[in-house]
Amino acid sequence: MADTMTMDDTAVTTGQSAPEKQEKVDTTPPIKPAKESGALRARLEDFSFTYADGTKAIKNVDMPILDCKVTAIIGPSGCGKSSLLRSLNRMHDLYPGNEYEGQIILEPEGENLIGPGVDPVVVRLRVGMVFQKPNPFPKSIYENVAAGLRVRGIKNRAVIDEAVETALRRAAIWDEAKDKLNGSAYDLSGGQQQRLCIARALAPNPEILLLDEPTSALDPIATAKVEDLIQELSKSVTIVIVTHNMQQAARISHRTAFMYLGELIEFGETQQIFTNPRHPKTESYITGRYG
Amino acid sequence: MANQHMLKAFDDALSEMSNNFGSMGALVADNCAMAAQAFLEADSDLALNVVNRDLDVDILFEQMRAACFDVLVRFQPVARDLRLVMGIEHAVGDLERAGDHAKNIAKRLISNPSRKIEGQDAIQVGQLAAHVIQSLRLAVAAVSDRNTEDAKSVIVADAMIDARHDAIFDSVMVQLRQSKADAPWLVQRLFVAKSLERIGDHATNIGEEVLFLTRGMPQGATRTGGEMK
Repeated sequence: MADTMTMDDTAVTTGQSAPEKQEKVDTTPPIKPAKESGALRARLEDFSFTYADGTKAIKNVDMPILDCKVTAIIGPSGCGKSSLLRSLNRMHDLYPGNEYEGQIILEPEGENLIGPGVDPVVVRLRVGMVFQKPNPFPKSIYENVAAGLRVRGIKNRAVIDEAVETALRRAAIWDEAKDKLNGSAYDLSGGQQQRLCIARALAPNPEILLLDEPTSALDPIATAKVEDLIQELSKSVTIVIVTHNMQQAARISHRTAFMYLGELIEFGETQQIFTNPRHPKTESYITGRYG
Repeated sequence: MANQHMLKAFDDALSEMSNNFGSMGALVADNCAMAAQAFLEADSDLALNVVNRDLDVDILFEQMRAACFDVLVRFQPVARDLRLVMGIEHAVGDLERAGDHAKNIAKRLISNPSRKIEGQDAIQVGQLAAHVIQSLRLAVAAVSDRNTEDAKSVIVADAMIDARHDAIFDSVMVQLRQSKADAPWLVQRLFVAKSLERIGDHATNIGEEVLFLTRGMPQGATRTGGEMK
């Protein structure tokens, strides 16, 4: 392979042959995603994001997000994958000076989530998020799940009861939590807390669920439960997951996006990406050959 | 491989697998050459040697398969690394089968002692054998070198091997009509030619594996109209 990638995109000399050869930096341009035949839930169009300090974290990304499928975003640290994920529910709005460009279109309405006049709080109800480390509120299990509903202004106890149970069932934690709904969320194990956070995100019935390395703090058994849950949930909700675990991306996603230095280098069917990637940088990264 | 994996042990395992494939390929190609020579010269001692050496082929086959599974379990390779492991795992199966055909030629000679073949008949079989063994050696080297050009040469050469086999078949048919007394020798020659032709098919399969492991082309794509890029 003629390409070499490094975190700062400079050439490295790691050739095995003696004498060592200076390898070329790969200059293959990113591959544009092919047109998808399935229904889309969202699409990014020429989307860029710049932090308040001037760092351009995402550069001109075009990417489809298929409805009721799992899309995995992979790439080395600093590639922009978490920045991209957080853009999808406008988390960056919490800090002044951050700037979005382009469009994030939510289908089928065709609404631009980063358009003027769009309320970020409403966006976050439509696009839920679960983080790397389980972060339940210091409240009861019930109140954790009900929180998003209360933000929506729902006060009817019966409605909330039903929504809490539905969300806990969808997050596959109902059986473990039903007898201690008023107990502290902190009494749950790490894996249970993460599934509770997923239930909390599901309660307002989001159209898209964002998962930012949701199993990196969990043990293998808890990880397996969350992965099974993601597969099951993808039948009814669109999921975008950022993961450093490429085996996990290969196991649970339908589409995989590879990002590098803020660019979407390659996007495609997960099987194709992991068996026969088209871009040399994708190949280098997923095979573990980058500096 | 132009650059190193983060895990040196992984590169070492792939490198060892590739080297061992080359060794197994050399052993099988040598056995095929010895089997053809034994047949042409009616040398049953050489034939016995081929049969014994096939045990080594079988042992290497099992070791190679175990090594492939070991790499899959330990490193969960993806992309070209996965294709390399899967390609070699398939290719060792072809080598083992090619070795079986060499053994079959030798066993046939041992159970039905032949007579030395001479003249045009010897030239025909000798040319087929040489062509087949050259293809097999080239296919094995193409795996080690990830050489798609050599792999394509092997695939293209299969038609010539088939033509040489067909020529022997036609020649034997003519001779059968002329002398039924020679039928046992002639049928033997037919079987040997068929075994050599099958070894050529396995070389072709290995060539196709090279296209798979280097470019992701599924095996058989070239036979079903796929372009040999």
